[in-house]
Amino acid sequence: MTASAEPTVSEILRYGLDHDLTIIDFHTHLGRWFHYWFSEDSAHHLVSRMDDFGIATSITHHTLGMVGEYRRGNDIIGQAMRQFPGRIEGAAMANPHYPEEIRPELQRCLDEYDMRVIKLHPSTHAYKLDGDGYQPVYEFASDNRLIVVTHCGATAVNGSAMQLASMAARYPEATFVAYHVAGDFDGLKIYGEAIRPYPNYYAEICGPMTHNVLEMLVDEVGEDKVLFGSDHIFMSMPPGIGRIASCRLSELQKRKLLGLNARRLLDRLRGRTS
Amino acid sequence: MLDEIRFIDCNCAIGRYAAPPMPDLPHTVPQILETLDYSGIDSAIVYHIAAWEYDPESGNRFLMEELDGESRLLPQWVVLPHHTGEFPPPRELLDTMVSQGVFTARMFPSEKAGPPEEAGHNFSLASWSAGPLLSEMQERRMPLFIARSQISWDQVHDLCSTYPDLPLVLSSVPQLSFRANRHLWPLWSIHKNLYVDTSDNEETARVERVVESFGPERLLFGTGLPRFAPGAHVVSVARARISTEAKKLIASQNLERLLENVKK
Repeated sequence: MTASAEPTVSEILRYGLDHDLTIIDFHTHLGRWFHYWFSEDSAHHLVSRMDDFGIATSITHHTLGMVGEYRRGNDIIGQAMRQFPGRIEGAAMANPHYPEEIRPELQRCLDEYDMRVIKLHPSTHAYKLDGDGYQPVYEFASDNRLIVVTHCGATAVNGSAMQLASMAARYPEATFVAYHVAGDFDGLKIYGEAIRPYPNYYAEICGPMTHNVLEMLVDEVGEDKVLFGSDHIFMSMPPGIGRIASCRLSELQKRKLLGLNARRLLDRLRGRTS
Repeated sequence: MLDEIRFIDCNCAIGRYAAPPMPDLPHTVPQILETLDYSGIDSAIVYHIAAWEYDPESGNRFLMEELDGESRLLPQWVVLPHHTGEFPPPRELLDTMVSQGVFTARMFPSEKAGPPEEAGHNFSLASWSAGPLLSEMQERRMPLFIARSQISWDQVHDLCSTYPDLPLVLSSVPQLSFRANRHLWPLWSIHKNLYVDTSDNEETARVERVVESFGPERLLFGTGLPRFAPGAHVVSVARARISTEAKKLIASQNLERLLENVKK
């Protein structure tokens, strides 16, 4: 790094330099998980990790929200939003196997906590994203112009790119974000076909650190529709940040992925823009 | 300050995959060197993809031809036990390796023929098969690299127990993540010869927790290049909440120490 040159995004993030970057992590968790141990599970831990990189806001749900006791998880997230206003944008979870509970629970989360993001996990719930049990989620999101984020796999039986595309088409007032849109060539082509036609359908990138994926994803879906997500606590933030910092996109494109695109979505969600 | 940290990638390959996950992956020596430069990595230990996907002896030969003495890429041979005659007896093999500047070895012992990440050379790590080779490697203190997808946790324990002076390095590629701290923690508490590279998508705070619990000597910087983007893991080490001295150890000095310990 030369002393006189303006530091690049890569240098800022590698060396921990002061910066004016907008960084928003669109995919984080609090909580624990049955399959392995996490040493950091609280909102304090999350915000501390965000501070390491100057991350302004995280979209966060609780892993307890992925199992049957999901309402307990929603409450913990609501408390975290109150504890760290503006830093944690909580995502309420809904379970398609209890469809009669969905609308009241999402309304409760909206009223009590101002929770305006909904997280789905069709893999854990073993349920298709376009199935009947999820329709109350989309109807509620559409009525309230909310963001729906979801675990996704390009061709997954439960949670495919095209299942979500069909919902993006049916509910244009809601915004949809597919998680884990990274991996291999074939998957990116499928995501490209799924996401391109719909202005309300976005891609979040955590997953395998496969070479050239970000560059190709930007080609496939456009530089304005790709969002940084780390998958904290399942995956660590630094490599997720590092893959954007070190990819071969332009400085502006890196800034868009790190947070400018997400900021636009959150501003709209919070009524800060038209 | 961080410019003082030299990164040596302990998990890198050259050559083309039979089924590359993405087009245009770097696979030649110039391409790999350019990628290392772009990512701020000084050098790398490399094996040849053909030594995994086709035949170890052929791939090792391709490796040496293609490296052609390139000093920033340190050759790593993929090895087999000698019983079938595909490889010479262990002492002869290791003499040859050391004489050609090859100070680490990699094994793909999995019995499976697929899927690709689990496909291996179909041999046993037990004493009746790989014992003579592993004993000779232990005698020479030559580090052995094995991808996690090629070996069970019980096999890791057996290897580390039977050959306590053999450095065993687990690498992730091409698995997404170990997510295996309930295995690693007890293994690390028993075995001082077990190392893990940084190329998997580790869970939050892995680096810090390992350093706190077992010291910074147990981790080696590795990226999984060319399959994985190497810059991600540079940031993982560079921005970990550990001392600069610990970062230096993980980034290169642990590996350099292992290489220095090899009996030439």
